[in-house]
Amino acid sequence: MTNSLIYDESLKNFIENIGLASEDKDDLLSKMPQMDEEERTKLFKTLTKIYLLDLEEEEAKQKIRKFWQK
Amino acid sequence: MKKIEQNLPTPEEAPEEIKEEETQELEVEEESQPWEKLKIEEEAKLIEGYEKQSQLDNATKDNINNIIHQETDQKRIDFAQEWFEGHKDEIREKGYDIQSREDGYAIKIVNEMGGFDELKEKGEYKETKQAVDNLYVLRADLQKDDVPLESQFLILNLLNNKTERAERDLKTAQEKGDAANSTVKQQELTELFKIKKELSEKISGKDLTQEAEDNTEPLEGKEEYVDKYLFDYIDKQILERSDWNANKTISVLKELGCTTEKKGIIFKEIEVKDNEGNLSVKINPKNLIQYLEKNLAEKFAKERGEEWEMKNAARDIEMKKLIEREIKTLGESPEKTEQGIESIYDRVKKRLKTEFIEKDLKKKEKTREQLQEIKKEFKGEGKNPIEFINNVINRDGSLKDLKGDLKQDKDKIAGFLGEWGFETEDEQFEKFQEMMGKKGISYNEQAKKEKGFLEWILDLIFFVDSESKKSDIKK
Repeated sequence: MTNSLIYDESLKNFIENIGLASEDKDDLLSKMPQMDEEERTKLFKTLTKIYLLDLEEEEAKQKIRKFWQK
Repeated sequence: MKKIEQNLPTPEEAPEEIKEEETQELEVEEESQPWEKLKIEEEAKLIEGYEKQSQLDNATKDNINNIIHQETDQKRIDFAQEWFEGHKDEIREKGYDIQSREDGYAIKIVNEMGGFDELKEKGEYKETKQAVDNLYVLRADLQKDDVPLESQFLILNLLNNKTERAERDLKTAQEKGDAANSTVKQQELTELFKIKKELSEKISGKDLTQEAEDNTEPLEGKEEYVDKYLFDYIDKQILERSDWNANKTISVLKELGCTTEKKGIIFKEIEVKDNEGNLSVKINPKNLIQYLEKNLAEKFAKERGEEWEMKNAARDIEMKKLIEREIKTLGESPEKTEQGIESIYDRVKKRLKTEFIEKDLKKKEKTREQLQEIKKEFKGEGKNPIEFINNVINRDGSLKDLKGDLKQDKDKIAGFLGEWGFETEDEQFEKFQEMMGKKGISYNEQAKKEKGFLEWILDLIFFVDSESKKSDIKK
């Protein structure tokens, strides 16, 4: 049985909810339905890295808000 | 500065997060039951792996560390003075002199009266406490191989504030005619500029000197500048002039400090004498230009050389202003800084997406049959990957009490994956562990990390999926 994390619906959800520019999201969304399993697995790993960067970015911004000195 | 440090509170007063970090290793060693409590280790941030060029060299780190030290001391001095002012009556009652307010004295009294204890609490002095704690965190970040990006921005903010104070102090010293203090402040500003520039270049990835040069009026080299002036002068004063005559020649020669005498009615020759009246040369119109070039060159080398020096100095000041403006913009406000961080992260995320398209996406077009197969295979109820990842990172649900030992954690992991619809078998776990072992990746190590554990879980899911497929084919 195929890993449901790389189903069309899962990947669409993933792409739509990460911090990428809208043109990059559109590009991936248009290419994703034609990707085979190997490509989808690599896409999932790339999207995971991007999402982890989103989390880091938010953490960094919070630290800036907390630490900023006038 | 050392004297002040001796009077400062001990390291035990450092904020909790620093103490934890410094003593973590010791605690692990002392743990009698290693799997009793799984500690999550701090990992390097992903961004630092992608933006290695933004890292600071050791000399810069040392310079910044010294500045943060000074800032911490200054914060404590300010606190001591504030506390002293607010507790004058108590200090007098204890028999201390309250007239003297020298920094060292104030620190000594506040220390003896236990005033620094109040800095540990989040009470009346919570802002000062927060500021001191922040400095401790920045110092701890500075010790890391990869200094977090946001901390680099915060350090820039600190250096910008310090620059503003030093500029005010310099102005005061200049107004008072205090030459010694002016020199000290000038030196401080020069040093601050150097560090800020380097830091800003690392953060922004820009060559600020080059950018400033590109935005400043160009200036040729000194020699070129003098030569150009000389040639222009000869062109305009001599070659292009239709009214050129012996008198003009003489006036130019006089400018050079020579006395001259015409020989012959139709200006065949001019005798040129030096300042002592000695005959230095006889020239005629043919070699006049040659003579002037040689002599004017010496005169202009001095005059125009000085002019060039002034222009160059003015240009340096203009460039420095442009660089300062760029540095200030980078660390101008928390909003601007957040934008700066955002643009760096955006750049990296875009790069990852582009790399995927260029390297991982197959170039060969798929056949109609293949596309139909793909459509069929990946259709169905999907999952929410972000929710899944968050669950793993936060160790939610069955992952809550993992011990960091696969034998103990296997059932919990299988239970968690089962809740998400991923069925795993013991045999697959063993095979996966064996495969990871060959790659030198151990579950016990990965379980201590957020990203490491996530990676391990994802690899497991993809491995189990591939194993199930192999088994389906066999059947």
